Amino acid sequence: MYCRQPLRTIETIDDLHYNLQLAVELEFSTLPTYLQALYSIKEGSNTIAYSVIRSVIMEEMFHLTNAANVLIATGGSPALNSPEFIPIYPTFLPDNEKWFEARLLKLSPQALMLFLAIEMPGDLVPISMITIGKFYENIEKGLKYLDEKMGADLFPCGTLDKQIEHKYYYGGGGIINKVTNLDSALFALNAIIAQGEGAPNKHWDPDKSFPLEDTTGIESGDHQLFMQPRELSHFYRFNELKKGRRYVLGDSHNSGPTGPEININYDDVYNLKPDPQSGDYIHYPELEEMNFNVNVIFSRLLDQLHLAFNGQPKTLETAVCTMFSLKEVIQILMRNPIPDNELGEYAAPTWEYLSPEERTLSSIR
Amino acid sequence: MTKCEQFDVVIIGAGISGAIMAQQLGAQQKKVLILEAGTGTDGRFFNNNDKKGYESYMDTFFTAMAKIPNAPFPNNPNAPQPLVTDTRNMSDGKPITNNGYFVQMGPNPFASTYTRSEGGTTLHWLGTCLRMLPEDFKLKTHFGHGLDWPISYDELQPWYEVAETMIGVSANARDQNYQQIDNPAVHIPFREGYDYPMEKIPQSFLDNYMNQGLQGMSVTIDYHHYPIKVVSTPQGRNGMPRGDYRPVGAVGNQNLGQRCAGNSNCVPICPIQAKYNALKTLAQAKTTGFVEVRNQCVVSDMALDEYTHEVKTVIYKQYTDTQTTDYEVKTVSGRIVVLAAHAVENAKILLAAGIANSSDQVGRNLMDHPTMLTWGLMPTDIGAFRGPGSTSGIPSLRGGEFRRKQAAFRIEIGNWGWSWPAGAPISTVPDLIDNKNLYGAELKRAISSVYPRMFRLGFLVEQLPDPNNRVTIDERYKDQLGNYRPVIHYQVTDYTRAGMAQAKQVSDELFAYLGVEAYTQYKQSDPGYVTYQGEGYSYNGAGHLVGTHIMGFNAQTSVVDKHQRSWDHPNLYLVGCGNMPTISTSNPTLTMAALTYWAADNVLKALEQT
Repeated sequence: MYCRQPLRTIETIDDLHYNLQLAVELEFSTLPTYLQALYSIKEGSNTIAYSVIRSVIMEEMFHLTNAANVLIATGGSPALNSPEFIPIYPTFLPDNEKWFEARLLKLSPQALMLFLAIEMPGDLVPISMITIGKFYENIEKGLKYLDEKMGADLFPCGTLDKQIEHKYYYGGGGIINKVTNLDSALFALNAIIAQGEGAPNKHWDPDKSFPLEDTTGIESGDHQLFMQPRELSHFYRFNELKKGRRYVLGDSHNSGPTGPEININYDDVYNLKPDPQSGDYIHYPELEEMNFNVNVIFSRLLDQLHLAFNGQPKTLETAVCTMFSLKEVIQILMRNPIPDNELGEYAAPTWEYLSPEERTLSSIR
Repeated sequence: MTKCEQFDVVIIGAGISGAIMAQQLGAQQKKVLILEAGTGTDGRFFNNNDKKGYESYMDTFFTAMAKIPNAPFPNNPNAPQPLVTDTRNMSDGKPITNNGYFVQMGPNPFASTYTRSEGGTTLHWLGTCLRMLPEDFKLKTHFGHGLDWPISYDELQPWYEVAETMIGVSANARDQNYQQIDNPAVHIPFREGYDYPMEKIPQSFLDNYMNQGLQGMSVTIDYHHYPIKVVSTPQGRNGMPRGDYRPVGAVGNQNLGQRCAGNSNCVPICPIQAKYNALKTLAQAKTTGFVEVRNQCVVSDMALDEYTHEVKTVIYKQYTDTQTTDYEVKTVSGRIVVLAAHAVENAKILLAAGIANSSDQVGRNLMDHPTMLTWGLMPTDIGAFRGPGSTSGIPSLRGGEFRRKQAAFRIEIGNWGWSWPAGAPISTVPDLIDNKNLYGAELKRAISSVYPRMFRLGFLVEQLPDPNNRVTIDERYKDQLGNYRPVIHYQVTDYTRAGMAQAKQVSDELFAYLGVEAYTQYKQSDPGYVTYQGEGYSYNGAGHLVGTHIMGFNAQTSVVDKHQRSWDHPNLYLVGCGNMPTISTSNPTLTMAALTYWAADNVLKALEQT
């Protein structure tokens, strides 16, 4: 993913906190986009596509947590529950990339194009353009600078109990390590870069075959860092779906995937209205109420996550339950065609943060 | 005849005990072959064109009419398996020879089943991982009946720790030592500082409701007071990890199943493999590079060396398709042979080969936990049908002086309402619609006013080893490949019936204490209907098949020694629940796994010596 404007050098602790908060927002802003496509899949169908998108979502949550832990460890406080935290889709991503917009789409070839743009590795873009990898590298540079300047003051005491520990992280690739010093902070941020676009490689060769294992046909994005079964970076996982084939041993960037077919049936997907807005349901009180229910639970989730990242990590257990509730109400909503819609489109959630006052049904009537 | 293939170790059976053995030996670079009678998924999660993955089990489960424990797993006439729906009432005193895989000789029907597929019965187990009590290892010494084990709790204790780590058990040691229960007989010593690899699975709303509701309750047996305490159950189910432990996800789809996600479908199949199954250990075994798993190979015979009495060759029938009877007979040999095919199948193979039976104990002492259910409606919603099948139990009566006269039992608290006793909701909701003519708002009200209050207890009652409860073979009863079907003689004796009567008494007191409206009914037509002192009770199978080749102190009275080795054949080891001389009150898998880690260690030592 590209940033247009040059990244500003991080010179103060406030600069650092600003950038880490931006990182949290960046990671979060991909979730509605991915979840919209994931839940548009009719239950029990397209199992491989479901599993691939889900695995990326799990890792985006892992990235968010890593960025938040670094922020907490350096004395900052992540903010997750405000209307500003959640963009209105379609939107540019929070790091000011202007060449594509994140949208809310059903699973479709168009959605997969968008996913590939979001996860585009730095190696694939002109050297002058800034990528998400470089966004994190800039933070790492700032961390090193401040570590030298401030010494032990950069990582104040008393943040350990506020950080999220590994046991909470709900499956998927990666281990959450608490951040206590420069090394552990860099480890956390490197993990984000490695899983998203792949580990940075000074001598990237598009014809060099991926380091795939014989048996799994899967690359080692996570392998060395986490003792995980080998796994492709997000970009290549999505490319498998786009191309409808698995990567196997011997495949390279340029060869594309040449392995077994992945069957994706785009008919087994709810035909969701793209980029829905709450105004779309104004004439359909039942849909309006269902979408409202989604937003209420989504807002509750954000409140719980905010607490979890601000001194009450145990709240994450409750938040996981809320994530399941959110899935349920979203799937209930998505089963409904929008009346009188000439394109035969179905209702889809709008992903809005409601203030506590806005969470009574009367507020929409 | 072509040259016989040679391995360090040939293991028969790709269930949990075979998988553990293979993984342990493969990790030490021993060349291992596993022969599995059933079909398998070869480590796939997703279906891949015509190759089936774990996903195919879910497909089968969805379309099955009866969601019984073996519903998701292929019905394979070349490796047939018993089904709970096969069990019939035997009060007319006649054997049942043509209903399902088992030939039932009675006088009571044997009601438990197992799965003949790669991964074995762990594919459908609930995942309960209880340790045995120290007194369970010495029943004869303490209570004058049953048998003592040649191995003690203290000796097995380190292997329990290995098994709990390798299976991945979620529990808190401070709950599981039962020190909180004022009945010293049930206290289990844990090593100082030890804890399970994962934190306990959160207890259900019902568990917490009962825990509060039963504060202060005790029952009296022979003038002794036993406090009734609700305790979380240790489970082979992924929860929040401790320290560096990493939960093991689904085989072929590692990102799935790293935590239990409350699908409430543990039995018959966990859709995400958050529940442990032996496919995970098999995958680890194969990763060593020294283990080969050969599915669709049914072992039918073994040949001995005349002079050394060692097992020289293992003879098996390899079939290509489950629906045709075409097969090829093949032989392999191993420096050591491990029989890990399940209690009933192990006995069957030994009897067919006519080996390891100088004690005449092969097939004998078959045990199960006759499981008596009681059910009713709670006065308030208790959130039935949510979470894993059971997350807590009442272990207070697992041990005590009363075992001189009557069976001990563990009480399992069921989270799934009346699913076991009445088939709710799948078979009861259609009744509301078809026979009670309910629909719309009224149907919703009928369901929501009753179903969330449904409550069920299970009493897992111990059996003593009885040489007359046995698996035999008979030329008249064979499957389509010409392999023997198990012929089962089985009786629930008064010791166990007295335990059931006691359990019913405890249940009645408990229902009264909690204000439960009882719906329990034992019918004379139930397959497991038995009477004791004029009252009728019904048992079900627990799937805990134990004791068909028991270990013991000498070759005259037991089949294997303390090291799990056959007394008769120096290179033959038996593993699985068949080795257990008594069943007591814990679900046997964890103890069996601990014994198998111990056995693997002994096999390694034996391989090093030869």
